[in-house]
Amino acid sequence: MSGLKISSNTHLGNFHLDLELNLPDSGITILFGPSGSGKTSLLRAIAGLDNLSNTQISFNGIHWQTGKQWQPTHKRNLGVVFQSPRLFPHLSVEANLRYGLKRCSKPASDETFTELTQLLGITDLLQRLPRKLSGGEQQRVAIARALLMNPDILLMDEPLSALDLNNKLEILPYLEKLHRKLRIPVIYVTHSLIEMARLGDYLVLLDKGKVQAQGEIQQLLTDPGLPLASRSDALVQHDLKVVGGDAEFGLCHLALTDQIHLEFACSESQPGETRRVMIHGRDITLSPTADRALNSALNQIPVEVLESWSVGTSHTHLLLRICDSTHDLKLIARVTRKSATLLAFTPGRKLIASIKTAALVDN
Amino acid sequence: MMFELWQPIWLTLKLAAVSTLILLIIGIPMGWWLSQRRGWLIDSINTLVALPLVLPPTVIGFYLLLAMSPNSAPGRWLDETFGLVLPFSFTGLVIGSVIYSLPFVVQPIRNAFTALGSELMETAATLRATPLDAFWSVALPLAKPGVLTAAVLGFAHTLGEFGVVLMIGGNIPGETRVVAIAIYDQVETLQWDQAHMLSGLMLGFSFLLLLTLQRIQRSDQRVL
Repeated sequence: MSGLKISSNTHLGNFHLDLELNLPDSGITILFGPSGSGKTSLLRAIAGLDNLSNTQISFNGIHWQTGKQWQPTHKRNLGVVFQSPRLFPHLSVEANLRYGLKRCSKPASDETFTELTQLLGITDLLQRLPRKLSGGEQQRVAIARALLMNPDILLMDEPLSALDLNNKLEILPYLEKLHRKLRIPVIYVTHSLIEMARLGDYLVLLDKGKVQAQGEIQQLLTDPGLPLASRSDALVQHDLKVVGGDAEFGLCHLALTDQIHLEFACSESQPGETRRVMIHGRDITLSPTADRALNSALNQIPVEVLESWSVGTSHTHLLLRICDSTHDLKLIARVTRKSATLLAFTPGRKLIASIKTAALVDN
Repeated sequence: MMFELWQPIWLTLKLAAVSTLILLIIGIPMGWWLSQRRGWLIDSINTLVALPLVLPPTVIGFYLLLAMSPNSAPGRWLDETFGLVLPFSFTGLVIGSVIYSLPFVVQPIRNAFTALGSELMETAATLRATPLDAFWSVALPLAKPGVLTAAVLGFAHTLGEFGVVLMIGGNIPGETRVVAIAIYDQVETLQWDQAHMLSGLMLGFSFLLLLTLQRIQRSDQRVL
């Protein structure tokens, strides 16, 4: 009976929420969709902040909502991080952190308190008032405040969307660090593809209150039947093992398959670690033959075209399978429709994919 | 002579203090309730609370006098059950002051709670606070400037009360003869020196009170 189960069939403003979800009990589940798709409403219902009619919600076998029975928010063992930090302005950072700590049934130990405030980089801010903090700092305090209660599940409602770009870039590494440390499931609402790919493991695609698709993010990103694979910023996400490095050039080697290694710029990594790599379709070029001497891209790998389809009038997207890969690793490439036609990139064709760059999620 | 001057001052301060205390006890839950709900009932109650702002005090005094009179049903009930005869008594004045000053207390408190919004209360609930706990630990501390404003306004407004007192209290030394009534009486009987003294005191004291209010509102802006 583990994990979060939701079934709902209810009118909500101008659309109908109609879904049945069974979410994993670990990792980060992304609720993804355009605004008005119902993702925030769903999160608020899970938190108990809105009481949706005709909705059942249970978590780890505990009924949070069944028919008439309804557990108010303060009785649900969850943590919530909202779009805005929502720190209590009359309390210091430390008092904000201890607010939930004092009231929950299994508060974090002093050790965890120190560890978490260090991990989130807020140790030096404890005595300050929230209004003296930057937006990014406030949001980090809000995350720590929710986690210090040792909740069984963490709900995050577009936690980065209210921040400016600098604050966003500042906070993402902290979330990524947390991702690896947390043992509880996280439900993360966003409409940012990058946040989804960097942080997420499991994906629920919402559209107008209905589940369009759900599954492992790697699978859904490369599904030509879904809109994700046809976006101009289409990308793939892979968790790869570090097998070596090249300190002189600041590169690390990641094993795509046993035979094929990729080299990417990265901060120091220890062999054996897993690093998440994201490769955008627009950063892949395709050619019929390998030509290392004439190509500045370090990574050239043999691929086979599985599918190709037009995106708009000018571009073609190709679903590629990495040859010799035992785990069926895929890439999405975005090329102009003209070159796809001239070079005949048709299904079944074997090509060489040059990857110009990739985003490596920081450690 | 000095006693004659001090008695109305003491009585006025006592009336204002007792009324303010009762006003806060009523006004805080009422302000919260009015800030959390919407609809016809709420609009009607808001209007009812605001009426003393526009009605002549004599109108309020007139109706209160009718209601309190032992000849009316509520007045008779109070008399027969508790032996309370409210007209021309200190208790009657307190009741009159509370009704008369209600808008000055309820409105700032309600506005402070409304300005707070629902976000922080929701957040408190996600941090395991029961609604009552969240009210005490989040809503009330954040509405403190509004509550202080309400207390000062309620106190100051009760000090300046005249019409309602005249209607339901009359002019009984030590019981209902407040400063405003005493001044009226002194002018009527041509005791200009005493009227000067009491009027000057009222002027200075009211100025200080309203100055305090300004300072509270300024510190309010600094906090939020």
